[in-house]
Amino acid sequence: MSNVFATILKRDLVIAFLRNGHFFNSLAFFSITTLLLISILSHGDPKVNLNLLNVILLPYIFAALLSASEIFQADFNDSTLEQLLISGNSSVSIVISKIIVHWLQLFIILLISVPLLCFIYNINLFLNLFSIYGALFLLSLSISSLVTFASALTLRISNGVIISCLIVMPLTIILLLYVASILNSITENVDSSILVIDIKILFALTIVFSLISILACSYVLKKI
Amino acid sequence: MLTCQNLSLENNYGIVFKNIGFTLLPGSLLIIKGANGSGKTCLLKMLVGLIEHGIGKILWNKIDISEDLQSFQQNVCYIGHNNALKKELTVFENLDFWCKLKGLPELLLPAIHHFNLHDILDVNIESLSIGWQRKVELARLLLSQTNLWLLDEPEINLDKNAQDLLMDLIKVRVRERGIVIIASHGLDDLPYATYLDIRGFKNE
Repeated sequence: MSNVFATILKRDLVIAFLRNGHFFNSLAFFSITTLLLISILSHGDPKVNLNLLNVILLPYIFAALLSASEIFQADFNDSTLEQLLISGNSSVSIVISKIIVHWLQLFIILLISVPLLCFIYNINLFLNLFSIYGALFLLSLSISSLVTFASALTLRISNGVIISCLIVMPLTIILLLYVASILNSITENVDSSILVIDIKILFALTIVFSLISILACSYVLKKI
Repeated sequence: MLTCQNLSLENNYGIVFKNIGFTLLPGSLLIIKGANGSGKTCLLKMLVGLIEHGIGKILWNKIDISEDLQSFQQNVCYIGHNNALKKELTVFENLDFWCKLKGLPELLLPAIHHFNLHDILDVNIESLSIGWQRKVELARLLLSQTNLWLLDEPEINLDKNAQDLLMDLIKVRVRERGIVIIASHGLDDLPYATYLDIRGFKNE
């Protein structure tokens, strides 16, 4: 299975690199919405500035949702997906590789934007590096898993991205609340025990959401 | 041996076909004929497990394929209407991908050789003509050692030479006791083939 998984992942990464328009679309959307939100929220109130790291979460989730249609659509249109599904290999490999590719493309955006925001708003990134990136890593992985599942579910529907958003949105709000709480705790130097509890809960949610999404997505793909 | 019993398909517009049944022994070639929309592609997709076969039965070596669909699919090579090729990748990258997926890298060179793909290995699929793209797709037949080939109009967009190469391949497969099922509007009067016209199964 690992060989099959590596083969699919390598191909998907190469294609994602060659079709870099999708990545730049997400990056542009994320940058524009983040800048707009910052300009609206930071109107002279210094207290708001402290929590600006949270501002990136909403644009990130929307960027992830908007890119949902690209996860399986190309493979579905050119029949590669059906060939993969009948190749006699487990569909779990296909799903995991799709999640990783989607996650990588979007996590790069966070990798770039977080240090930038920390620098602008004097948040000590190096002191909180593991907590910030840990929380964002878990959030992005959960979101990519959920979005991949929603994408598979709406594959045959035209404009399925809207339905995908409706399916995923309630679950992302739960994640969003925990990540926002973690980022607030970091930027306001709240007691580390609260931070640890929040990270543990987020970790558990990521495991549950990712596992359910992978299994559900594999099932859905077989029924397409 | 492949046995199909009472295969039926119904869509939103009514019955597509009803009670199709046949048995194919190793070394058989079946050509499915029928007008557009008569369900040839659906029947092939049913045979490979992409469409559920409902109350009917598909037996592979006397075992119902739904008992272990994944194992059955390892015995099948299905070439559909569309070419399952990635436009952004080269011919070599596409073939190499399917080869690795089947775990038989030693079959890559014979496949390239059979369809004379040497000169276009580094060419992107999107730069190729439709005929060449079909040839690359058909080369996938040689990338696995499967006993059952399901081909949906394999000859479309191929020139005479490529059609001959394809027929040679099918003849060899049948001679080696494989089973080949082709949905096609052409390929008439082949002496070693059995023909099935599925239009007759609509109101049975």
